[in-house]
Amino acid sequence: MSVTAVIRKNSYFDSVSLMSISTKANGIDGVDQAFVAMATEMNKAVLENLGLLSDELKAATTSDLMIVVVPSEGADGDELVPLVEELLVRKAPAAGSAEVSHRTIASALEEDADINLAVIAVNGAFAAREARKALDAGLNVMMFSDNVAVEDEIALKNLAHDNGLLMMGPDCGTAILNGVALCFGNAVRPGTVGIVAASGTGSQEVSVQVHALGGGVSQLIGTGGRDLSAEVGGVMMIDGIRALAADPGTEVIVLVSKPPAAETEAKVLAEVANAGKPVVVYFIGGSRDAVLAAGGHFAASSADAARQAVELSSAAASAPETLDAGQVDAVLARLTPEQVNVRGLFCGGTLCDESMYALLNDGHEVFSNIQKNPAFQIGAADSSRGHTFLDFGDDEFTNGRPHPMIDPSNRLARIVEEAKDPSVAALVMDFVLGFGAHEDPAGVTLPAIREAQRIAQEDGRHLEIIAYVLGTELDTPGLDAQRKALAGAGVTVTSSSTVTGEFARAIARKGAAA
Amino acid sequence: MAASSKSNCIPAVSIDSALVTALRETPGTGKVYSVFERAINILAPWGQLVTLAARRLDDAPWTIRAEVRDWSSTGIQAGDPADFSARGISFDSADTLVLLPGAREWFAKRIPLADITTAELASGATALGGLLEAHGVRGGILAASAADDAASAGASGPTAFDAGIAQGLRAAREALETAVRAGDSAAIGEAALQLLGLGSGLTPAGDDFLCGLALLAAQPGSRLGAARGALAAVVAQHADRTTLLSWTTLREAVDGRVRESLLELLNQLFRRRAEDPAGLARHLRAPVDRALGIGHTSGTDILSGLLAGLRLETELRGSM
Repeated sequence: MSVTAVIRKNSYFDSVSLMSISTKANGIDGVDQAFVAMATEMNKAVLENLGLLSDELKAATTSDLMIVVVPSEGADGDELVPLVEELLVRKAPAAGSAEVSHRTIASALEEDADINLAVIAVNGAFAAREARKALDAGLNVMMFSDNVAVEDEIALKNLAHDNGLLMMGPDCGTAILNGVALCFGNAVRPGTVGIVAASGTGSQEVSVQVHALGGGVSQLIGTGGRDLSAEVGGVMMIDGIRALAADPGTEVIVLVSKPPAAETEAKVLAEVANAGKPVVVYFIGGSRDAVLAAGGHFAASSADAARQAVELSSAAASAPETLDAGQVDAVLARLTPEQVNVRGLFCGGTLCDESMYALLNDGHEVFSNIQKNPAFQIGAADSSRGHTFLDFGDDEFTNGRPHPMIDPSNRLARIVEEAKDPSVAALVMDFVLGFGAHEDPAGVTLPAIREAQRIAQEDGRHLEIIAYVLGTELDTPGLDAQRKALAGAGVTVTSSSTVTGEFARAIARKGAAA
Repeated sequence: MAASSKSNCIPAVSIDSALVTALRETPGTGKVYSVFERAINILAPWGQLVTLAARRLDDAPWTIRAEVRDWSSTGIQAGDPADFSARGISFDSADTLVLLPGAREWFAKRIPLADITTAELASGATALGGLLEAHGVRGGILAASAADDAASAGASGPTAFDAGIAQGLRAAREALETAVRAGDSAAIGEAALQLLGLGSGLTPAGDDFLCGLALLAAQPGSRLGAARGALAAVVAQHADRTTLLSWTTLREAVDGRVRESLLELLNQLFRRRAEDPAGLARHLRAPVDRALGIGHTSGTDILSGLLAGLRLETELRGSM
């Protein structure tokens, strides 16, 4: 039997990778049998029993990897070994998936011509160039990268539009396409609700609330946060509506955005009338009359958007959870007269927006780093005052650090700091689960929460902490485990972003009444 | 460079208590041994293999879990020097410090077997055996014990090497179980030596099987004490027969120190004492699934060793 063997000195591959490499090696044309194993004495003994132990293999040690190839009749072992070694260079995938690393879009397409989507997450300075390559190659694009010039965004979206492709982003963190959640997407039930969103956590929230109500998601198309600006003009949201209108798996379309530019909102609403399917519109701060005039279904909150979507679809809806007035009363009873302010510390921009608008629409003054009113804008270095709601995902807070959904530790110091202010009645915060999110956001935050509670207690106050966990029981970690961990520390856990805003508003009303 | 001046400071989440002592008593410079996505193995200044694990992995002997998702993206590479101190482990090459103060200390729990009745042992073995049969990953020790090796190795059948390993595992396992039943320490040692290092992976299937058996044998009150002693001797004398990572894992297992998910499974096995095997199997499904997720076939192979230990423990009690 002809045998070719190669020793890779001090080479370590995890067992999942080795198994995958071995399986692929045995599938190479011309390979009769291939063995890839660590060079232990017992493994060498097996080779010896098979008459395959060469002197080179005999000399190998337990830290060496043996690659042994027995070629088929007529095949050349010396030509086959490099093909097996190539499998090692490529690094076999973790967890047995079909994941393979490529250095360029072109090389990925060479290997698999059926690829139809590129996720671009390179430095913003290079992202547009890579996106253009992908679009030119006929690929849809999801661009996670931010810091891309608006001119590039417009050009890329127009290019995609002209070629019938999706250009999701820049700064697009969430999508679910044909059942595959990308970046921060959550694990939700498949269904008939299609979502187009210019807001990452807003779309996550609608998708998990649809799931909680018994519905499911057909597609979730992200547009990037700037799509509904006056400059970009909603190109991607309009293309997204058209794509979902043509998708036989989508019965109901939901549109989600932070407050859009007025002229772009009008263009998007004009498209709603042509969709041929029910369209639920949840634009924070948007106009009910304009949506109704366009033939859409106006949603006043993310929970309302999810509820209407599920009711309009064929899914059997369960009742949404609402604010528990008794729970609010119990919290208010524990506060001192001086405790009148609410401080929101959020990882998700839209979650921050929704709670902030719950207060603004009730006539309260709110300071924030994402306030549209310059008189109430505050920066990352500024102390909180009155009701303050901070989006820790905003550029000023991240400043080269990971997004707080990936690393929620950015806000820990602020949690403790806010607890020292005797005017604070409640801290309101979010915990976002999802494929790309932190493994244990509640666990990371609990020490700071306990410290905040201790500070307030030593000062003779009760500090209410209200938390919303965005996720499903299918996420890892699961929704219940995160909720239980927080509740176990005396945190009040809410059921949705909308209820969180209502709870915050109820506490703010106490201050206004004082 | 001073430890605190590293631009990338990674807080540790938890640390093996044995490692806390070693770091305090033997600071110095070690070397990165291997880098994977979820773990980095480092040869410590005192010659021990120490693991830096991603947060999502579980606690384990000589392991520090840290706030890291993907170690391969930190820039730390095999061969890099690593400075060990009570404050942390630092890597000048990647300008990175794993900061230890504040990390929770981890201890391996023990399950006193004297408190467990023979019927409960048997019930645990039945439940675990059913779950392994239904959900275990074929390819390691399971292929070796299955009648149809070919069916478990894909449509094209096993390679001659796979078949050779399966045959070796089967023979050595049977010899080991016979020797344990007989209380023959010399024969136990011989059979264990035939398993040590047998299998293709970084932790060979034979080692994983020994690890599971050693875990049960190391619990207080086990009737497998003689087997534990013989296994410990073989492991101590034959570090050169398997990979360093596998040998380190096995050396700890003979002292009952294994990763937390396995200890939790052992704990759960005997927690619900009144349950019948079917009820116990339902209760055990989640911890068994977690254990089966270790490596490719490693979880299955370790649980196979644990199951063999449970059956032997039950048999030996009956014979006394």
